[in-house]
Amino acid sequence: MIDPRVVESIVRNNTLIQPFVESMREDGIRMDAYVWDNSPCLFPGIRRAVGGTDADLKKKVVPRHLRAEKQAIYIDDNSYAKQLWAFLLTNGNFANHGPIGYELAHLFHHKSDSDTDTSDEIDGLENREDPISGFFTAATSCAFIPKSLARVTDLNLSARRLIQRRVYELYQGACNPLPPGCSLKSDPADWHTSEFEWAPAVGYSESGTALNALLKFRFDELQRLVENSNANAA
Amino acid sequence: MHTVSRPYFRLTRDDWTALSRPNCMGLEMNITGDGKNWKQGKLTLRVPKDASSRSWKHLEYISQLPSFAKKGENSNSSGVPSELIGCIVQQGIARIRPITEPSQTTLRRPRNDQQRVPWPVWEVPDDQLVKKTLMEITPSFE
Repeated sequence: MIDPRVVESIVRNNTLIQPFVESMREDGIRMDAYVWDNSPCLFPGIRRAVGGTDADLKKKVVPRHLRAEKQAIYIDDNSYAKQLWAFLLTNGNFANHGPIGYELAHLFHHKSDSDTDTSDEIDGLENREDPISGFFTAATSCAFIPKSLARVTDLNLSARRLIQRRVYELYQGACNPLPPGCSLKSDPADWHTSEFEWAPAVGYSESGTALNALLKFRFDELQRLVENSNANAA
Repeated sequence: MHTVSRPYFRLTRDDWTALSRPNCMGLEMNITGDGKNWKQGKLTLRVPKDASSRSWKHLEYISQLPSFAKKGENSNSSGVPSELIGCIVQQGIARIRPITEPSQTTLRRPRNDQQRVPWPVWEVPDDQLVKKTLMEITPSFE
């Protein structure tokens, strides 16, 4: 997982992208599905494509007149979720391949066609209109894991709840991993994080050079996508 | 690189000559706000290679501070506010220089001047061992 100090820096930097968030809100995107107080979301307004309904817009900027309908400015394959890792670990933006033998796992459900039921994992989502799309690029919601464990983190409820509790333990001092009013479900049968050995968090460096490059890239990308949508509407 | 100060934004014969060169991708303007007519700070605008007139409507943002990120009806198709252009004209704070590499590269290149490094090589667990362990922990796992 990503080092909590990196997450703290992203949360602090989020104030700089507030004008873009407001612009998206004005265009009818319900931004509370992406960001909240001390949110770890890296690319608000960018969500994963949903099978069937997003085929025409996959990997495209959403035109301004469709933003409210699509609740996004960009429909991604899975690239933006990997930018954080690519910048911090390879010193550049994501170039269509990750570490050998590993896959990026999304630790929280972030779209409406998930394979398992979100209500088994998080309390407080019952009255929400939208999935928490901000989980898609949240710095706390993804991890590169060995391919042999990929299906486990997708489908096995015990494993998912274990890792989600690990997320909460690791990041609760750095950000709010969950939206307000939400909490992780607990059950006496849950596996305990203390009974497992966890890999060290990665991505932090004293110089902060790669992180600064990521944050600059994030700002430029959001600006480009927001303005591109404006241009489409003109 | 050729850099000149301008009393206002207007393309000159030298600019058109620079734009016509094969390796020139556009003209870049660095602008400094004076804190009065526009907020203090710097931003960079671009005149694309295919600019067909001297109109400010062709200006595009390259980089900017958040305080410049204003949106309104009085802006061109790239979102550059006309008030900002007016400020450039009045204050004479535009500096123009040719861009000699693709703009997309300029936009996306990390500013840390470090070389890309390969992904880390982490140990990959044995598939069969993982499966066996998981079956022991959670028999319901397929």
